[in-house]
Amino acid sequence: MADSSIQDEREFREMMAEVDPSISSRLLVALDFAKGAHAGQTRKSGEPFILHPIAVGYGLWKKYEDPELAAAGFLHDTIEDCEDVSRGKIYEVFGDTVGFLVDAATKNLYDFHLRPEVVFEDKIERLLWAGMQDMRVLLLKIADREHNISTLAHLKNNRQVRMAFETQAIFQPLRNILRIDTKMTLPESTKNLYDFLEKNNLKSPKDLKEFLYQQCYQNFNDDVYKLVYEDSDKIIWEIEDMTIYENLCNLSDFQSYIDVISMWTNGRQFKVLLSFKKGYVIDEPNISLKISSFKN
Amino acid sequence: MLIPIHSFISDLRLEQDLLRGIKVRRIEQKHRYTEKGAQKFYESYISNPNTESYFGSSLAWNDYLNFFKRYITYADKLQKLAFVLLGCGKVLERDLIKTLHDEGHNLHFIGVDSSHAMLELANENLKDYDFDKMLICADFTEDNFTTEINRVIGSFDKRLFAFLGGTFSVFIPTDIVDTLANIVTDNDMLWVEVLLREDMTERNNLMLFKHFAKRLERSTRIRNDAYPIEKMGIPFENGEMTLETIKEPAVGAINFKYVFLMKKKTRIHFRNEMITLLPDEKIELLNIRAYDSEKLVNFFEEHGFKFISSERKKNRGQFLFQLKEK
Repeated sequence: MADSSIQDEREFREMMAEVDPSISSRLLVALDFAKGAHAGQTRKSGEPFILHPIAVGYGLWKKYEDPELAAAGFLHDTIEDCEDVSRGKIYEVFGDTVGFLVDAATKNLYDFHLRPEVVFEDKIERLLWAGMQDMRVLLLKIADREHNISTLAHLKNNRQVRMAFETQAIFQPLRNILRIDTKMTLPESTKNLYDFLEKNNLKSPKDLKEFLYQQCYQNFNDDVYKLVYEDSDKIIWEIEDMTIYENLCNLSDFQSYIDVISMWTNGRQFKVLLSFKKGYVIDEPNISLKISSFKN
Repeated sequence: MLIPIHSFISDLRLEQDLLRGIKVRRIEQKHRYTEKGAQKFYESYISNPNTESYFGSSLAWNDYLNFFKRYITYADKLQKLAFVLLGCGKVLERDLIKTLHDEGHNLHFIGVDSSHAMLELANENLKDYDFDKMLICADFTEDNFTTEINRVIGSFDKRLFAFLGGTFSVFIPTDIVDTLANIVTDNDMLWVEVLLREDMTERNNLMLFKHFAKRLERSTRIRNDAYPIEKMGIPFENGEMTLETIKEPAVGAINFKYVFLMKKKTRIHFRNEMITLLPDEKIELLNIRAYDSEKLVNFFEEHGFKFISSERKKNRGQFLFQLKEK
């Protein structure tokens, strides 16, 4: 991972030589700012922390070639993880757009620097509200999460399961709505999101959040979400569609992440009870996971 | 010629056992083969021989013969051998016994089953076979079995205890293995046939599950499985048969349990006792286990047996053990 991320930086700098200097200079300032801010920090794996923002920023640049989004990718953890970096500083140095993207991607904040009247107690609703203002917030957060999930193995198992749950509940359905795997320009992606929100009559971040919950889980609301978030590794889940479960069993790595407790049928209905041992995000439509019980 | 059936167990004891079973909602499989259950089982087995306890291709009697002959020496042949078939049912293995007998083995067949009705069917099946035979109605998990069986076969040079077909897989492994360790003595052999898991993956478990779930679609078969329920006066329509799995990791098994799920409140009178069953209560009726070969051998070894050999054919495995020297 370290080697590939060092290579990320090298490749990114080479790529910048081909880009309009007015853009590349801003991006390289963002990269260097992040390097300075995260200097000396390490990840759970022991690698330099900066490798993560570089991977996120570079990945976003390759995919969307949007300077503000890529700059926010490099900077997205600075407010959260660097004592010397204030929210105001990011706005001041990198402008309101980049400032807003980084502000929105920062956890444990309730309002926005330039919109102090907009307050959310719920961090997911805050993120989704920001994403409804500028959908690049969602692209940034998904890129951040994808990189974190790809390096999940360094976390303790219960932390892995929690992060995978949050991803399954929020970010995986968002990925599908935003059609991340389809090549689209930013304006196309934005139109796609607004069309989707309109079609499904999702007017508020709460509407969108509840819609996301229902994509992978049955009978979910905020209380259930919080309950599962607190004790993700103790939940016994139920899947009632045998075809979906069969598809999961056919995935080469699925088994190493789960414990199957039992299967049941009366000849017409089916259910399998399972729990997650480690973090795993299911990339199957309509999995409809349901809480069965808690492990002792 | 029909022979007398010896009995170590009384009908009263079986009924008491059944009463206890319904109270704890776990009826041992032996009750499925009693009285009319034996004929029902026999008929459904004849109509679906490959779906009873075998999965895929069942082992044929000559598979048993070839496996066993590898461990029979000329010296063994001269010895007086008691071939004790535990859970003998209808003795579909009669051609195996006959062949060994015809080849000159000094062999005496002893069929043991807890169902008198099943032994009567076995008697009928064996009447034209002229090898020495004895049929015993007994529950080999009962305390008195070791004493009683030793009284019958104590004078034999060698004793072979065999679980062929699906018999072994219905017993709780920890129960049966310690029981066997007490029955078998140093010079005896234990021959066990089981259903084997192809691997330990959930994919394979699901494949087996789907196979066993098909049984729920066969209404006659599934009603036969529920014979003890109906015998006690519980209408089949008051519940439904379900299949569920549990894992038994110590022995590397996945247990496929057929469970009668009550849908309606039902009150029955059985042996002068009133029993009330409520909706959502479950009555366990039948267990079929699929084992991991290596873990099964390890399990026997840990319980005092010495592994002699095994052979696998598709999903069926046969294993030969002896008791470790004490």
